[in-house]
Amino acid sequence: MKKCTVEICVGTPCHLMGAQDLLSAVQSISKAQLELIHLKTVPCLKSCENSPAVRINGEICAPMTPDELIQKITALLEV
Amino acid sequence: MNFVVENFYQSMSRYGEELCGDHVEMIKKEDNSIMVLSDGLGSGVKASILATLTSKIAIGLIEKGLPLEEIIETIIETLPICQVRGMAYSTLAILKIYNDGAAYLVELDSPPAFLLRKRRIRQLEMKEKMIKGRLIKEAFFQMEKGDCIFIASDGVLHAGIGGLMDFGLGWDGVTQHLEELSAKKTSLKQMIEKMIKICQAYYVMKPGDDFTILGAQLRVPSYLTVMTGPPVEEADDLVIARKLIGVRGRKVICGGTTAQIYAREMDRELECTFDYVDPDIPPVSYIEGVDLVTEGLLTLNRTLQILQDYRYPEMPLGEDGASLLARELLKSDEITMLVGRAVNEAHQNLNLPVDLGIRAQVIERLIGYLERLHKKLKIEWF
Repeated sequence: MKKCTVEICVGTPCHLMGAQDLLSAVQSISKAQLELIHLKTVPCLKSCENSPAVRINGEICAPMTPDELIQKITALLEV
Repeated sequence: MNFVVENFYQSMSRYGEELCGDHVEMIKKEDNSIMVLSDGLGSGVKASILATLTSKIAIGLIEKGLPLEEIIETIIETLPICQVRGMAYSTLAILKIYNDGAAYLVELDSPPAFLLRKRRIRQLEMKEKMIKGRLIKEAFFQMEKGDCIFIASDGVLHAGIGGLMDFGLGWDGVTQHLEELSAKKTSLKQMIEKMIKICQAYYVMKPGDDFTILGAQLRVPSYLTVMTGPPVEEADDLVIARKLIGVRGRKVICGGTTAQIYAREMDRELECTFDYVDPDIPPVSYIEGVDLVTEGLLTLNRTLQILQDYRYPEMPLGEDGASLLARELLKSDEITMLVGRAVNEAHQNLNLPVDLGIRAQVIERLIGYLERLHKKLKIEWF
């Protein structure tokens, strides 16, 4: 059962502002944790002015750093 | 019906030589293609100079519409004379094919051309005449859809001398191989590449002569439609999406927002991937019925760079969105661009260089490159 859905925007502004780092950060967490996440990329989250943007369980979080993203995911998984 | 002429050639140098003594020149025009193959006397630098001069003079003068007599005369008078042999010599074959299939072939000491029609090779009926003491053979003929014509330098017919055969492959031997290759339904490029490998094998990988195969095929044009950028008016979203779904040929979408518009309007699933094949180019996506879906601005700018560096006939390698897009563009004959002019406000905050950040400018530069590559272009702005 997936506990959370993480959608990383890979549109032009988000790509330029580090979407790839966000993606790598999520992919580098433990395998057990990764199995609880539904990880996706999306073309645009309409939050270009606050790029890079991520949508976690339907909530837009922008801008996001890799550390903030991992913290947020870890918190959600611990609930 | 109008067709397009696809052409391709490949050369191999004599074993131990860096320069090839055969030279090919090709020009593509609005309604015809001209190809010239010349084989210079001997091999190495001298042969290369003779063949290059001959083919460059020939194609330059044909382009200007000069009569054959003058072309041959100019070549004979211009070629530098070899100090050892005391002569200047190179063969010449000129092939001009119009998009309706009308064709003209001139041969000056080159082996007879191979016309491939319905998997059978036939020899053209050539008329002979003397110009400035040299025997010229020429033929006016009609090519049909799917026909291929191959012109080879004598190194192809001699394949095997000093290797697997005493007298070489000969015209009949080459014919047999070409017919066998055509039965495998390969492309013109693959046929020529395979024929070159066959010749190399007959020479036991040590060719005793330079050899070249030049081929041309009359085929139906391949179409491509590229949709990029959201339209200014929202009402046009459906119009542009319907336009793309209804076109013939291959379909490409450039731009995340554009892909979302298409998926929404056509009620299709948009599937994104994680594959950063190239870290500078965002990954491609998938939509059912669309052959390629890429990111917009960065991909288009990289595609521009690829086209700028493009050298015929090598196709750009790479599996990133830009290389895939460049290959789609290069493989097509007629390209329609459906360009949305809505300004993406988010892009304006990125401080991108002006020429990189404005879609219309990127598209106009792209069109400039494609026109230089003799692609037929149509642009519709939304």
